[in-house]
Amino acid sequence: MRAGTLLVTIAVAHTALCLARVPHAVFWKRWVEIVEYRREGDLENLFRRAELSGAEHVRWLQEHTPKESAIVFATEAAGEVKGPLEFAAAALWPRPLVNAHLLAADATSAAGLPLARGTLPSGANGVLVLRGDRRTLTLEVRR
Amino acid sequence: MNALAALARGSIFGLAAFALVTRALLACGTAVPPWLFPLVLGLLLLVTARRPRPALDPAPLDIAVLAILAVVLVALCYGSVATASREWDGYVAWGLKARVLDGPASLREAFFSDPLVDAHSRDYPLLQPLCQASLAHWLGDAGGRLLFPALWLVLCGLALRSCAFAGLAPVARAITCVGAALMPGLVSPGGGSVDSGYAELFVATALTGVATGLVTRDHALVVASTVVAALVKPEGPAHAGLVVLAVLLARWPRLLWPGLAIVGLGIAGLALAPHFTAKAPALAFERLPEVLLREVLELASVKRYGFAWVLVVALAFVPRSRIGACPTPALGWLVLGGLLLAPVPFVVWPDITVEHHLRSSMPRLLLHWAVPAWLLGTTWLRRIDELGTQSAARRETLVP
Repeated sequence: MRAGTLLVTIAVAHTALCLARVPHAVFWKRWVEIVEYRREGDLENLFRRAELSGAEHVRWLQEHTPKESAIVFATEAAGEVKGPLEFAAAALWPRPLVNAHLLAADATSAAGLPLARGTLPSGANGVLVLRGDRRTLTLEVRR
Repeated sequence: MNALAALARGSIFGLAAFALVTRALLACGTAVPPWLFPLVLGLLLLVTARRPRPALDPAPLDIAVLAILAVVLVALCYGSVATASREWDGYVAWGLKARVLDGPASLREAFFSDPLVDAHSRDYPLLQPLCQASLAHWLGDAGGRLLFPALWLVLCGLALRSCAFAGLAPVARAITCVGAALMPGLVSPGGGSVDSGYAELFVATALTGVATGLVTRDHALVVASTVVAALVKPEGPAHAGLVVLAVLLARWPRLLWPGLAIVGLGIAGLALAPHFTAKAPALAFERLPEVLLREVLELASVKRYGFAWVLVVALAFVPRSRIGACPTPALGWLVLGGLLLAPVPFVVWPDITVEHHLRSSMPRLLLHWAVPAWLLGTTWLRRIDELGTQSAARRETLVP
């Protein structure tokens, strides 16, 4: 086969492949993805696909804290926000996540907003602290 | 078709002007008003979309191409507006920043200025979130995400423009446009696709603008696209540097060896620097074989790039006597530079999980260059066609 013919064949094959993928890859996969995302909810879907846990704590904070408050977060490695806390920061906006490691122990506000307080289902009451590592989130209070 | 090609050029100028103006405003501590984006884009579209305007005589095949693009556009629009970003970085970084910047956008927001507040990739350029936030201000959150299919349309228009000015025949035009617009990594769901909310589409569109400018010898478009490419992501300045280098090398090929010597010395300096200073970056050269192997394997990924890279690599290895010289040497150098640039982050960042980043980032870094590479390949194929025509004409003159 001549080089020119081979190259033209590659180009035609590229376009044919791109076209052939449209029904499944462009339409069907996208449709399924959107249906799943809507059925599960944004956080639940994103956490499941990324193999993270603790979405329910972010949901609880969305429902039980005012939008004009700041949420304290804590991590094992001081200040390193990886994994589920990244999603929490986006889902909780306009409540900013503020770093417990940089806050004074008796602080009641940060970034011009009061720190979110509440009573957990366990009955514990105080400043809410979202604690995260690379895979999981937990919710606790600081008195 | 002509209108789409003209609008694509005008949009690049609009984006470049908006990028520069917002950079200046934010640097001065001034807020970016939400009306600025539509105003600047509209003005630049009016001024720059008119000339030089392609004058394609649409063939029936062109109508079929437009119909295909329209059908795919429906899927991409629905994917963009139906939900917020369904991918990691789109949700946690780009999408969040667009929400933070809604209204008069300013760096005085606690999100950007208060070290207590967690801000994902705080130092990333804000061009894409600003565009999205401006649209969201007028059209709502879902409407703001229409930025992405709009950028994809600009990319399609640029590909079309390349075909028009390169004088491709209708069949070649259709193959080129459909092959660029439906690049699997862009239109299939996943990180980096049109509706993922990542900045890869913005970068790919800007680099396609550069490629189109080089193919059509439209210097103003090259400059405007380079400005956009430089201001979308942190690696933008490296992209801009590559454009300058590629243009210089195409103009003065003798600069190749001195240039390589300077780059080599620079790399050697960076590698040796940690031995002399405490703060110099430590380069992880031991990762290079693994990174290069991954890059080569990735180039062959049909699910992400179809055969676009296969075509370019094949062109590079076929003797020039058979296919002729590259018709746009600057674009050739640029794509080569993109390939050489892709492994750099994995060597420069010493504290990353290489396996994870190779899997998630390498495909996106190569996606930036896939459409320019495809345009390089298809416009080069036209040269083969020309050579064939010339040799046939020679045969006719030789045979009595």
